[in-house]
Amino acid sequence: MKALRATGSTFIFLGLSILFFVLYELVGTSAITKARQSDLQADFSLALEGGALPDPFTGELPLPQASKPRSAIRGIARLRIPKIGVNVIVVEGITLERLAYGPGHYPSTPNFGEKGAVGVAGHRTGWGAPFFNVDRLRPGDQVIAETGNATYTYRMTTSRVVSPGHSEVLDGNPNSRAEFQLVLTTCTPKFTARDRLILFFDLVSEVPRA
Amino acid sequence: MRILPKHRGQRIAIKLALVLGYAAILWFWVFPWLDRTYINRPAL
Repeated sequence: MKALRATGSTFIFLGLSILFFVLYELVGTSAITKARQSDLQADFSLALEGGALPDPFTGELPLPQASKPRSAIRGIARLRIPKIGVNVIVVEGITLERLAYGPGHYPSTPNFGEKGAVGVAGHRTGWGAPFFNVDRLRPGDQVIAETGNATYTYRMTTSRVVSPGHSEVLDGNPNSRAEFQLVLTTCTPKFTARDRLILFFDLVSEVPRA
Repeated sequence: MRILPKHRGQRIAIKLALVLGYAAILWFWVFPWLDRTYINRPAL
């Protein structure tokens, strides 16, 4: 009887620990990222209003001199995906520390507006999960990227699932002739890091900032 | 053999400290490790 009771208590204890993990993953991490994104959005808007030009190497937007930054790091672009209600600031770098701020730009790929395929990675689970619903995107759907230089509109061409390490997908869609592309990467299936979902986009318009 | 103190208040305080300590270890050490190892690695 005593052993049965101990076993039952152990399972209850483990169950509560798992529930605690779900709480951490879905609520705790997202609260951190939400606060950081709020600061990034405020800084980014301020930088755009101040007419700041992006750093030529990192693309990061500096704040006007008199302004005190709210975020420890700078955003490089505002990424909007109207179909799934995404509006996030992209930061430079793809380390997990950086991705805890928001989607990250692959430093090995061109910046927005440069020739080639711009690569952006984003979380699918936790940390704000900016790319949680990207699997709902279909060819033709739009992604809009706003930087200090211009507003770029991309249209989705195709998607594919690859195992981790297939960095050749960052070269862009091999079946597209577009010189300016965007590649979004995230984990798939949801709630695991087993594979990567890759979405390819072609640039369809570029409107320079006045 | 009695491990916990006799006073109810002290027993509650010790149990609370154990629960909070366990939760803190999970939140700040175990969960971040689980997250970056099994759940979240969106980059290639």
